[in-house]
Amino acid sequence: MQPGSRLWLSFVAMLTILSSETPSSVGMELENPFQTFLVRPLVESFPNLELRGSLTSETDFLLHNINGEARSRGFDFRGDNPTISRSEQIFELKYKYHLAKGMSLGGQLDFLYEASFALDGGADRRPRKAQNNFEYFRSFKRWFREFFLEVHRGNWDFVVGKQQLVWGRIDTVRMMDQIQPRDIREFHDDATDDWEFTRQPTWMAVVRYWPLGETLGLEFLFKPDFEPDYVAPAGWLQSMRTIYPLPRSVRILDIDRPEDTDPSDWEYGFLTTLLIGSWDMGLSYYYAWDKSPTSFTRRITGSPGRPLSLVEQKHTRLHKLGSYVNFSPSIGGKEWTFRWESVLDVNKYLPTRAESRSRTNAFRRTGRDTLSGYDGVTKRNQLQFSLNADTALNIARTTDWSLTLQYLGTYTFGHDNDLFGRSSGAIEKWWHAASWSISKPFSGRRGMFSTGLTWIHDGNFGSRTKVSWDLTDYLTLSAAVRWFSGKDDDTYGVLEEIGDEIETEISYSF
Amino acid sequence: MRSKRRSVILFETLFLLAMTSSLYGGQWINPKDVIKDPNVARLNHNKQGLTKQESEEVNRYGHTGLEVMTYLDCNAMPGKDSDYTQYMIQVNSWGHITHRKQLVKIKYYFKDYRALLARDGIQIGDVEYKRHFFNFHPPRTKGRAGVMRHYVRGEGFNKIEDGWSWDNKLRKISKSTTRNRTDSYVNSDVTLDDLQYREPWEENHRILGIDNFKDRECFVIESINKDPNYYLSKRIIWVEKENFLDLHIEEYDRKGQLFKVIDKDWAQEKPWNYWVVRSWDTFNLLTKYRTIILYYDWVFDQDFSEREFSQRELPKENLWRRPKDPPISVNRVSDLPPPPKVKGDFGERVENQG
Repeated sequence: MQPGSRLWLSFVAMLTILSSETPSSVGMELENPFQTFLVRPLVESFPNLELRGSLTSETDFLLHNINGEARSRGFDFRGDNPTISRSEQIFELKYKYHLAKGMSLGGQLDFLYEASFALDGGADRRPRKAQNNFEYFRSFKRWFREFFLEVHRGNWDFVVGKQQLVWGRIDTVRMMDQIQPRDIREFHDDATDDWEFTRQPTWMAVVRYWPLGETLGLEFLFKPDFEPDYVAPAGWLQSMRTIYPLPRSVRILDIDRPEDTDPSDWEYGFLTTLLIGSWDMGLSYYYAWDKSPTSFTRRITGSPGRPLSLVEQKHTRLHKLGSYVNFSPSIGGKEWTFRWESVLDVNKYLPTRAESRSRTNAFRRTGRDTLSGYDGVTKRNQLQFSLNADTALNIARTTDWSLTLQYLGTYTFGHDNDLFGRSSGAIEKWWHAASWSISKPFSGRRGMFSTGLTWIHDGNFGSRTKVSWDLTDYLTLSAAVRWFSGKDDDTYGVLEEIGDEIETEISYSF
Repeated sequence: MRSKRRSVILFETLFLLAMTSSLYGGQWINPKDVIKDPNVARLNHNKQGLTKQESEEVNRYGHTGLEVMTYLDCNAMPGKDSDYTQYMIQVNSWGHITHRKQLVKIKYYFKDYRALLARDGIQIGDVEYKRHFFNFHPPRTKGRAGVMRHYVRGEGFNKIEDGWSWDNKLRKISKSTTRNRTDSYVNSDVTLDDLQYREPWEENHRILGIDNFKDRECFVIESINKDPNYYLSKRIIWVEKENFLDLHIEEYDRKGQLFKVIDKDWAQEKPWNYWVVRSWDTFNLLTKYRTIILYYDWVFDQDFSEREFSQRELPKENLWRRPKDPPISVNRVSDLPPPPKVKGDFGERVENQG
């Protein structure tokens, strides 16, 4: 069966299941078949079992292609003119079994089928590499998403197994939340709604000790399982590899990754939390691997007229120092929450433009690779930090508004104009972004409206407006519009034509 | 003889002390007997003396409006801790129904209600109570949880609470921002002030008279917030006379228009005999939205540990017990009891009669 047919079959099956019971005439309540036929019988048979899950179908449409606007940037979509950037079907089942008091086994199964490639042109028009990558979604590693043992004894908590661990408190940006590798199929689409799915769980052990109640918490992390960030292959609509394609003058030799069996290759972390009155603080150290590999130029070959850089991609060690402070004062009768969160990357490799150019130019002149020490990267320390303020508002005598203001900054130590980003232009010493967002429930309090705008200091913008509607206790519909604006070489400007989209989602939970 | 009398007095004193503590260790006692001296209730929150109107109320009804509302507040905090299930039914103007269910634990941090009023062992800015909630319905919210610390407010300290919540999707703890007091509770027709934030001393109360509500004799009290910009112009509350339970409330918007009617069904929970609200039924006359909150499966005085109200508990997503005897799920408007009815502007009736 063609993938496209499978998609439509699964969609029709889902609708059939959802509408299998006649809605009650007034309440519009649909029965919950998974609850009735799967969860309830199991939970009644095994009283120590907890089960829940969801079926989610998300389809995103590219605005410019829908409108028939010609693409000017010539992205390589393998000859297609795609209109659907995502068509993702996820079946999630979360379970927990209480083995004894303070001891449980938990986890999550997560089946994902992504049909957008199949819909836009058919599988036979895709390169083999892309097909292999899509196998990932059906792999055991992907669907056997989480599985862990939790033990709580006195002041100690232990969680061992495949899990996702989040450090930090701040919303909308990932500062200390960098323990899990990410599924960044869509470079531009990093809405917090999807973080649960885009974090890739890994095998690890987490030990927590609370010597002074909740006042002081100590957390230790041992993570033998290394996984890199998952980047979709070139040809995938919003993959970084499509947006920033590899030049023809570069060939990737190999990707070197750490060994899971070697303790010296494991990741380790330590977090201490402190709660004093309204002040909620945390400090962390994470001895990590960079989840995206660094490209080291190992050799230049070819002819002086057409030099070819042979590049080894290697994951490198990083020291990540994190901090957060949260405080909620009452100012003039209004409650605010202020948040600070930062992460300092020590020994981060950044590409240098001069080294690459000098080495290539030397090769062009002499026909020999004379500057072998110029590997095209240099180590720097980089600080990312964010300040966030939240409050509740009454606007025009209407209640229930929420307002969030946020600032995001990056400072590169030892900055020089030679540094440039892995996938964008020059790295600036200071990089700033600011955003605001508001949200409010509406219409019988079943709907939720939210909108936000992010500004980046070189003058580009990104925005997302979302409306969701709880049709019943089990069914939620949502739609969002995302748009970008900026110059061609700006962070958001480059996404203007391929990132502007309409997102639609139907979710059934049981 | 004298030593025998001393022994009796000593025994009685010990017995009374035991009784006092037993309010928070087992059995309900009428708030009048908890507070003992009515002036503690009448003059709470640094009130210097009774007004002329309050003196008249004492002569006529035996209580002042503030005193009655303070007794009511005492009843709203039963036991030294409680554990219950909350089932919220929301009906919009189209008749669509949604349900929310959560487990709730509350622990109080004062010796008894009199101690809270008299600032005995608890001061302004201290934690008054802690609350831990865990959502288990609808399924998309299952696992969302939070811990809250509610503070004693007063002169120079107006902070209501601190809270931390666990998002089952984001998988992380966030410091919650306290909502505006006029915001809705979980997107319902009940405001946060209606439910838990409003304190008796924040309003001026006047006893309008005596009226019957559902065959129970009630004080009818008019409460006007001291904040001139408050979202309500007044509330009229029917408070049952003997046990001090608010059975019916009518709320008026800033234009003086009656817009919300609330009925509460109180009952005594065995074996503790604490009065609890079993049903809180709110009907918005303007929007025709209705919110019914049912509280059931109460357990009191379990001596919760501090840990149970700490952030540490949140990532566990722990349904700490399965609720017993849940009410039947209501899916049709026709299965619901009739919405609360307007009892009428008692104040106007009194004035017209006068």
